[in-house]
Amino acid sequence: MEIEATKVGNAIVISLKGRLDAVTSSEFEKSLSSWISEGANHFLLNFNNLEYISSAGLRSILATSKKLRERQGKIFLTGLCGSVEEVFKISGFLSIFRVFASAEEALKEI
Amino acid sequence: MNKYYTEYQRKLTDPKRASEKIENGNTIVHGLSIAEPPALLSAIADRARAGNLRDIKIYSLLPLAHAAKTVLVPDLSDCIQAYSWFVTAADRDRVKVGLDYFVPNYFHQIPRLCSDFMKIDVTITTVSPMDKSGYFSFGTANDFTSTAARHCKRLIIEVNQNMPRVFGDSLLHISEVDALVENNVPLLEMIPPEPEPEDEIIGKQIANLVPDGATLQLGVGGIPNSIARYLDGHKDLGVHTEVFGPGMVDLIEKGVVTGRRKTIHARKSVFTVTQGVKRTYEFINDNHSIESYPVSYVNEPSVIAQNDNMISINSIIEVDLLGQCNAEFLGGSQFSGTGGQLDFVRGAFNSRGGKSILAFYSTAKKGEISRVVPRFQTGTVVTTPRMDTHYLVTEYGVVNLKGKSTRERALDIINIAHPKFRDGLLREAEDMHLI
Repeated sequence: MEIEATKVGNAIVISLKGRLDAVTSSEFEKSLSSWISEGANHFLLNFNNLEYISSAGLRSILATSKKLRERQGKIFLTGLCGSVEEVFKISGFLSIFRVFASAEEALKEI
Repeated sequence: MNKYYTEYQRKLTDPKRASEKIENGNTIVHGLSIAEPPALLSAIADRARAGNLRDIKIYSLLPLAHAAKTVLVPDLSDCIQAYSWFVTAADRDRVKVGLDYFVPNYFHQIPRLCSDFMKIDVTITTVSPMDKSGYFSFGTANDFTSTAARHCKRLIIEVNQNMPRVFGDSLLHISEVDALVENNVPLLEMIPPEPEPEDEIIGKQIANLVPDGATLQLGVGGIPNSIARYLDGHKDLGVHTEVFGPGMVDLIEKGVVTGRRKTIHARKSVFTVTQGVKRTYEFINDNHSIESYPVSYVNEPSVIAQNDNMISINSIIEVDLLGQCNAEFLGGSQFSGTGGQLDFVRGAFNSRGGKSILAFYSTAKKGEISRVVPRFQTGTVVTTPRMDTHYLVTEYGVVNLKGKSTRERALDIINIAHPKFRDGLLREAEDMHLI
């Protein structure tokens, strides 16, 4: 999985490409943790190029969001489509996270 | 004061305090379906949400609304790992995406899984109020719950005055309990679905297969539940069933079920779990003709077979031309579970005069899809293997597959498919070299 991270205003935009699964979720968590240790509080996860997410991927997003909650931080989502969107719907995770239609829209609010 | 009431008061606590004894990494088993303890489940979920509980494993079978709203919610997926022995709407989607894990099983073996293959830290379940001798009862959920209660490090019960008091091997003594809470909420109800037009045809066909004096098992689902009304003309039927449901209450009250000719537990209706409505629970409450036992006994095929003329009636999702039956897999994922189907399919066939009947509508999606298929989709689970399939019943007829060749059974099965699919099935059978 490729992880591209950019600081935009108050948020770190994390664009994921490939698969977020049991193999790659720890890399994902480490990447966010290093930003958190530098003081980042809000993340926008862009799933436009994410092909697949497994339950391990869902759990790693949830665990990270709970760490952020302790610091009044949040994770927002955008770019949900295809099978990744389907997994978020079926799992009930859409009810946990705020989802934006586009990165621009999300960044205006964060 | 009665010494049992003294012990009761000593062990009585509130759900929050009771849940504080649960530790990180614990394995929890909760009571089946109607016996899910809402106050205790809620307290566990609250602790997990507050960040005070993690790495919890929780086992369910047929989870319902209480579990769905508490320990099976999405935002606790990082601290609670749920396992399912039989999937329902409460956890079906979570199993589908891999958030919850399905554990394949024969229902009658789950008690042994609890005692020999698991290390259960905590069992929680709803029970009926204590009597003067210090006994609660497991009420609607004997099944594996009673075994898990006796093979755990800590048993916490939720006493509910609405839980029926049931006899048989269903009693639990205060000395076996570590802590208890009180919560007198109405029990959940599982309202049987409305009957379909085909139910009358299927019901009457099945009724013809049931002799007077037979012992019945009726499975879960619309078809088995609706069969009961077509047995009104029968005499001296008995009940040895996994699930005691509303249809059986009607048969007992009408005098159709008396149990007089049962070979074992004569004059008693034997079950391991109840699902129904308020009337069902009120009926079994304090009723000495109704007895529950652990599922390791009720569903053990060799016990089932001891009743002569044992007739088991269950439903399936689909059958293939080999006679393999799928009752648990749909759309490429786990829909429900094996449950006790194969337990009763085998037990009933081995009974003297016994029959195992698998009933289903010939089509799904308002006639668009045939439930008789040439082959299962790749990955589909077989619930009842072809060697075990005895009677199949649809609205188009009844067939008995025992002793039939692959050719004969394929032709028989095609004959009970919906007519519009039969030509296609015949061609497929030819391609498969079955005919």
